[in-house]
Amino acid sequence: MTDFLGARDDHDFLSGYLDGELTADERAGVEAQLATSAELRAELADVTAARDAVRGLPRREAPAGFWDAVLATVAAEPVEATEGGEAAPVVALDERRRRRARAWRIAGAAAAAAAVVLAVILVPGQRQVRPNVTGAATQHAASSSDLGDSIGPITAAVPLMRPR
Amino acid sequence: MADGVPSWEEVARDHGRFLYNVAYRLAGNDDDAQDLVQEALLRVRKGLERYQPGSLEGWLARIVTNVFLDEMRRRKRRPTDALPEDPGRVLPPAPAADEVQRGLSDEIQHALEELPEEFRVPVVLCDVSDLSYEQIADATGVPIGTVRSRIHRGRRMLRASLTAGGVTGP
Amino acid sequence: MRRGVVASVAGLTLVVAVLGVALGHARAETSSADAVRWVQKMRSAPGRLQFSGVVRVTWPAQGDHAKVSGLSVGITDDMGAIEVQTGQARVYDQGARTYFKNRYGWSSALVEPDVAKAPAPDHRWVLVTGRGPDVAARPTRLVEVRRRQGAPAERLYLDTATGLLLRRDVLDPNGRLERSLSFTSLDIATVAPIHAPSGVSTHDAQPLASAPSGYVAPSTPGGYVLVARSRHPNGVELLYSDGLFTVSVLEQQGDLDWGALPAQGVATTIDGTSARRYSLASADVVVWERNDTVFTVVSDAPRDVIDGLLTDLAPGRSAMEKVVDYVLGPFGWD
Repeated sequence: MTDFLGARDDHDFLSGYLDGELTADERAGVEAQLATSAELRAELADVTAARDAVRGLPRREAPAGFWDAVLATVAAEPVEATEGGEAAPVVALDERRRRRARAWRIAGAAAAAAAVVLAVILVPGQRQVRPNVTGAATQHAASSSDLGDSIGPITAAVPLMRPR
Repeated sequence: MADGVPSWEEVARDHGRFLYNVAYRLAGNDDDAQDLVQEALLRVRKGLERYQPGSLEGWLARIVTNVFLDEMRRRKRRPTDALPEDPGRVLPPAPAADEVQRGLSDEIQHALEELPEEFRVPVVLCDVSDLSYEQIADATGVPIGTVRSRIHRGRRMLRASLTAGGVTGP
Repeated sequence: MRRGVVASVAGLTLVVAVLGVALGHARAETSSADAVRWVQKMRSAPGRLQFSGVVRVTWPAQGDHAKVSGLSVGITDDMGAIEVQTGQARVYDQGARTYFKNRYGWSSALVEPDVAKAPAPDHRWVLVTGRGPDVAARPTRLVEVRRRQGAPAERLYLDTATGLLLRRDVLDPNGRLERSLSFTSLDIATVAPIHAPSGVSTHDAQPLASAPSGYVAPSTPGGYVLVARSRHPNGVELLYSDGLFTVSVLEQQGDLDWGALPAQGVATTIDGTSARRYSLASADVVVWERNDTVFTVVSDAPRDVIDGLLTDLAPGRSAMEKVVDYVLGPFGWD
């Protein structure tokens, strides 16, 4: 019986191989199999692509103000000693969110107050520019495609590619 | 830091961004990621006295995984009022050409979220937090063999959904 | 996987070494007319042909490691359009319009600016030509682009039969690879079906006769010639050419939000002004701000060549600032 992906689901050693989780002997065995099976090689390419896609994801940063707010909230939380392991949540996450929002507003108010002071010194109303670095590379490739090496669309697609 | 055990504030300062990234990749949105990080830091604060110096990131990954799975179980038992979907996701506007790069990351993130948790968690722990299978087994409480097979299956499902016409589901 | 990467890096190095011998190390003082003709043939090739293939892109990370990208770029040519695919993303180029597609559909097209007469390929570069190695199993003509001192800046491997660019290597003054783009397989005359975009809102660049006030647009900085000025929704774009390499300068008015820049950049300075530099697969991008304008400069020229233009583009520090620098001396300004 094949799974929805249309192949038997027992080649997980390929992921083990990719992730460096096999012994030297096991690796040798896998490589021997790969050398003779195009199907296995194709499956290895598939999981490699998926692995690379996830590994290539940029680090997601918390929004401005979050760290101040969460540190304040966690610091203010009463601590009860519990037996073994991590403490079970005392309060549901949505309540935590409300508490953090309060801390956030406090942190935000302090920042706003500081900004009011600074505004007296700084020139008001300046627009914040956030250049899009990869967008600029794409724009350049498109704009220069008539001038450069004649396969400009390839260079325009390159910012979309992910490193192996 | 005393006896090689950091304070919870030091953990937050030094590893907070790592935690947030893992939480975001598990949960798929900033609001939930923030809740997860907050709860995880709380558990860190309470659990530090029991922490044995070793792989701090492995320990943190275990905490944030448990927080995530606890929350998933809680939601299944009692569906929360759904927060309004990010309108950009429900009705995606045609992105500007200079958003192409972000679009691809969103696509991969979306594909991750389509994975059932039992596959998403080990894939994220392996490929976002770069943990070993043993650490993942420890974090999720399943045998290493199961970790490997779920990672493999998760990746094959991701690949299917990232290329045209992917089917989702186990 | 790692072994595969090492093999391909070694493969590239080997080819480069062979070519060095093939064209000789003797300094050429002037370009050969043949080489110039080949470059012109290269530029007209996509318009004459239908082809499809796969391209590999290589570029070094910070440091010396080459990354071979997991590519899957295919090109087809049908009714004058070229489509490039990588994963689910697509680029569709038809004449002056370039469209992008991702999971959510087609995105707004970029309209290329009208380009005034660009300098000749040998305007500042010395071009020589010779026989090249096979690329994608096709014999090639090599055109080598040399700096005045003789060190090659770029190598173009052109299909002998059609002039199509099969491979392009960009090199630093020491001969090290900065970037490489190469077909690994190519099929001329086979066309795969491509998908023209529909329902796309466009983003038109408005040509400008002169730079609006507040924007900097020197006409010949660092050996480059200004060939286009246009207004985009996100700023003013200037396009410079030196006959072979192009540089885009995007200027936006306001304050640079340094915190919003991607993290992988390298901090650098241009004539005393702080800047951030990114080495992407397709180009270098350098960002800085000066006098309420944010500059984003993009080019796939070798780094030393870009640096030459940057110095001319970034207005130097004012006389007063230079005096202040001198007075503060080793204590610095930051």
